[in-house]
Amino acid sequence: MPRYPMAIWSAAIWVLMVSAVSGQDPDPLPYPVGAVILEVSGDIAVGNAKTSDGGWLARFDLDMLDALGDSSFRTATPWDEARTYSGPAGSALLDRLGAGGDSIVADALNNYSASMPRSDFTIRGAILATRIDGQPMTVRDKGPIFIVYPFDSRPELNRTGYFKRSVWQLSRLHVE
Amino acid sequence: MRRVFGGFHWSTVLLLILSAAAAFTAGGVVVHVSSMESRLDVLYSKEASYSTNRLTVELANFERHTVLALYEDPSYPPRADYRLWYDILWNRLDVLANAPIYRTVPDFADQADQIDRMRTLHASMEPVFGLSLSDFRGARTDIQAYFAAFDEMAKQAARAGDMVRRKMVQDFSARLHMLYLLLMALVAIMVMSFGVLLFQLMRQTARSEAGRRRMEELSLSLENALLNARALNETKDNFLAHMSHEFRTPLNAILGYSEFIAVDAGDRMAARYREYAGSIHQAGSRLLEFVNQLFDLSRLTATGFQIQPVPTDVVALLRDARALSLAASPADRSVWVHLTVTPDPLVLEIDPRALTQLVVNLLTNALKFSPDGSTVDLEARTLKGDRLRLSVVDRGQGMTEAEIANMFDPFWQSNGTISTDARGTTSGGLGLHICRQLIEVQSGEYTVTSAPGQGTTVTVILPAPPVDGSRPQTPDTAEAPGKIPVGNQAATAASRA
Repeated sequence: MPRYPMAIWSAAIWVLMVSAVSGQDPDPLPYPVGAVILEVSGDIAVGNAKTSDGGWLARFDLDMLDALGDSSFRTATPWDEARTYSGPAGSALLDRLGAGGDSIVADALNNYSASMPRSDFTIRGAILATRIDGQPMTVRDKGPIFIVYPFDSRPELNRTGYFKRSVWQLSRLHVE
Repeated sequence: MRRVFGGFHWSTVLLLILSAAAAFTAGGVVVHVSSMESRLDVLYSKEASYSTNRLTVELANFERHTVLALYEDPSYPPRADYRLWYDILWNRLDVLANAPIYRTVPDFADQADQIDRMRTLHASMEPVFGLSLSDFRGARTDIQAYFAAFDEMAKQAARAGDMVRRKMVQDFSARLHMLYLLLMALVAIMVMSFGVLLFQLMRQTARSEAGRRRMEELSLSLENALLNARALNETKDNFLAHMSHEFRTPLNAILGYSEFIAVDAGDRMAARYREYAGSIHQAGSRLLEFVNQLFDLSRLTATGFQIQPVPTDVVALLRDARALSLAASPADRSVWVHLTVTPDPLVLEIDPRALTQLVVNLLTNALKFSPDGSTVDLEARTLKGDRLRLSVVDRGQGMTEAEIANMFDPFWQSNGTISTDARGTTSGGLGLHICRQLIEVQSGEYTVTSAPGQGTTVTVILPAPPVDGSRPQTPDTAEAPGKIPVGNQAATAASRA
């Protein structure tokens, strides 16, 4: 009996040290298992691959994106009636990757590219929608990822600038 | 110049208001134009034309990747690029056909028709693009036909889109043009009103300049007239001051000899001639009194009533004044003057000459209207706030309110029976006017209370600070206040002046 408290203390100190060390190091990103649908590069602190110039590259499959949480909302867009869009918040992705930088360049499969300020993710509530009305999105339906702003709940976003940043068929993000 | 512009404050204010209104309206128009532009921008032209452009781009990409798969690299393993671009094109056509934003575009029907046909054509090719690569290559003819038809339809859709766009731009620029015209009109109105105001300002300035010159001339001539009047007045005062003196010398001779005849030569003359001599003496006395008053007034006017307060023994002064006024009364009057001074002795800072003259004039007037055997009260009393109150109370006929109002005017005398004094003579009329001048110049005040048959009380209040520590010489013979009869002693002093 008298030796148990000692063991408990040692264990507690060990746990604290480990957690302190892991607090210093960002949580490492797992490797994708399924098809890679999003690659993030640029000013990020974690990744699961390296780019040709030695920087981190974060490659995501659908499960990994789902693990970032779900920010759903229902809204109409200029291109569609009101639908429910689900997927991680843009800010959740930036937080997970410890991303710095002020702006983000979004590239799409259709060679479309748009640049947006970081605040679109952190303040204006844009999400990386992976599902429409609960169904995974195909390329024919703006998939696999569609950057959607909450146009209905925030009418001030109904402007050309935000329409142009609503990138569909998204495949790559570059944080600057 | 400042004075000239100072008078036109209203026009500056008006201009400011106009400018503010014009700026406000112009700002409103600009805001309206920009908001209209952005609204049109969002809803129609940019997004619609952009999407149509993207259709062309994506079709070109699809074509390129399909051609790559078909011809350029036959040995290359099957690649899914052309399938991907097939899907991308599918999505684009779907968006163009169904997007709510394009349905709001007017005259979009033509383009929408083309897009729907393209969509049908594209969907019909799905089995072809889903084929394995070898089969896919076997369907070259179909694919070539597809692209030919698709290109043609895309061109038509783009043309229709262009027409829509052009029409929208025309509409928009027409509205913009109207707004710009409105803006121009506003600016023109502002410029015009500014010009009108400027013109008014200049005209008013010129007009006021002329007015100012006229005013200057007028004030110059007025100033000259005033100077002339002053010079004339001065001449008059000097004349009076000198003439009074010239009057008195012969008058004294007349008075002296007439009195001498009336008193001393009585035995040797008939009573009738003694009476004549008495009348001459009486008339001469009145003339002398009037001349004295005239002299006093002209002297005071000429010297400007210089008041020089010095420490003065008020009791002694009032006693002297009483003696003087009694002496100036006709010899056969028997009126008493009762003098009360509180406190006694009383030494004040006051102009002795002015005070003497004031008291003598008031007393003389009171004595004149007092019936024989009556008493005139002369009372002096200090008041709070360093003031001296003098009151002269007689038991004469009294006066009506209208007469009180006029009694201090020069040459005033009441009419009829009231105008005559106790012995039927009339007053000279200048004494009380001098009194008023003397009171006013010392910042004093006076009140008169009287009613017909009730006698008259004149109260004068003068500022008179007390003297601390210094006492002027007082006469040794401290006479107790009391009644002094107007007797022969006074009558002999009547020729004093």
